[in-house]
Amino acid sequence: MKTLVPTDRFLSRMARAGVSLLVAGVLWIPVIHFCFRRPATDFWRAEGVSSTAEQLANQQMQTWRDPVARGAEIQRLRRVNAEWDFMGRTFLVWSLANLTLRDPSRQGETLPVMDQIITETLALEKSNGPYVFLLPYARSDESSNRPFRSLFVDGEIALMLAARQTVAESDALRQPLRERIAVIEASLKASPILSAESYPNECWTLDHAVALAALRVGDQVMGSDHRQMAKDWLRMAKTRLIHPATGLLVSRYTMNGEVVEGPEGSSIWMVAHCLALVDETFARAQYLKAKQEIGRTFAGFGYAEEWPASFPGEADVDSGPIVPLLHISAGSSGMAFIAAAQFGDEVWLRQLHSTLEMSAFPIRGKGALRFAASNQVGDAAMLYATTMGPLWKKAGKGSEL
Amino acid sequence: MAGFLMLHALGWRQYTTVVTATLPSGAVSMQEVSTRAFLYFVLYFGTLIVTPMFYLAALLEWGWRRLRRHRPVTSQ
Repeated sequence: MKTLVPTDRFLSRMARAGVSLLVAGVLWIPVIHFCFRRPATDFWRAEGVSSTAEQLANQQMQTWRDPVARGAEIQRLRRVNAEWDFMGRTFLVWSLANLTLRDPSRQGETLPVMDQIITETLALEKSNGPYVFLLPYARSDESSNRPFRSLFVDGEIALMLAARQTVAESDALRQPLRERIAVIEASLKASPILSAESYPNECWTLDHAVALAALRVGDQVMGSDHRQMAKDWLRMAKTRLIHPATGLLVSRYTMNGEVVEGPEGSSIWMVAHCLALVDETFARAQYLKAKQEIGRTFAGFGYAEEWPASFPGEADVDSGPIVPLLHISAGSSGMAFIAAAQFGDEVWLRQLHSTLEMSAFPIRGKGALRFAASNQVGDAAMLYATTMGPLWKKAGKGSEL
Repeated sequence: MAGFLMLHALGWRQYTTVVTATLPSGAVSMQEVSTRAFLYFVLYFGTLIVTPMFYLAALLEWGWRRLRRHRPVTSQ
């Protein structure tokens, strides 16, 4: 029987091919990002409206104006997570408020959409309670607050109302904003650690950061002053909620202040953004630590991991899918845009944008933009990242604390 | 590359929404959508990353051969 033995010539050719492929990879991979690279100002700019913001806003408003498209989008989101339906609304209203503050001439088209979302959201909440926007386990009996209120729902609605009122005061929304702010204030004051539940016996740092931002934006509209409350909460957080290994704020704790979950990318970026309205120095330090722990750049592409090395975790509904080896988290990377824009990190923002252009599959047409690999809430969060700034500026970005 | 262009022309890009666990409008089966999205991802990243690498490697091979062919033979 004859055995096939590779000749020296064949082996040498294979080795040469392997080396050529390796060299080709070393040459090609570092330049791929140039195919997707755009100036950071295409995504976010200090003044005016960026082209990405313009196109994303057009797409989102088209969807909200079309009852069939809107119904289909909401159904798609709710099938996975009722929170996404809610956050898709809140991110969009906050974004449109920022967009309108950037370009007041768009008020005629943005205000009706904002009002439609707010009216519909309040009506849904009134008839079904906060559960309509929460995961099913919100109905568990662990909560001591009756009727059950969720700081997640109250905080985001309050910020939505305050954002709308910042753009243009509506008589019809003045009272709902006052009531919502009063509810948040009462919930926080009822706790010795100034904390309120989002789910039964679950306090989320992110929801507190959003609620504090709502109080600050609300102050600007109503002439109230919640600076001391914000300062007190932050003092408590610095004492109890800092993850020792990273110095980052944890993501979840109980009503007694026991930490349940350490820092997470899907929340820390937004926390840093919201706390910039309360204590900019601390918020910036959190951003820089988070970037060091979970912010990454590979071959010119920016992305973020969900967990720092000292607090590993599993992929969940917040993190989105995790790409193996590089540990890229869709949820964390999406939220990282907001913080990078907040703290003027143009280089990383451009690198994150390159990743978005390459791997989120943008679909552009008729002046609109959506990302095929995303959904309505993901696109609304992106829109928020492209427009954020003016609301915080109007609320007097925390420097006075 | 041809495979990717074909899937792209068929509109399979919409199936990539499955990475957010949501289904594209009109789709009913998560399994079917996941399979299509996976194929689209493989061919997209193959076209973007692997295909140019092969072209570049072939170019390097060609250059290497040319260099060898034109190298002067030294007398012993």
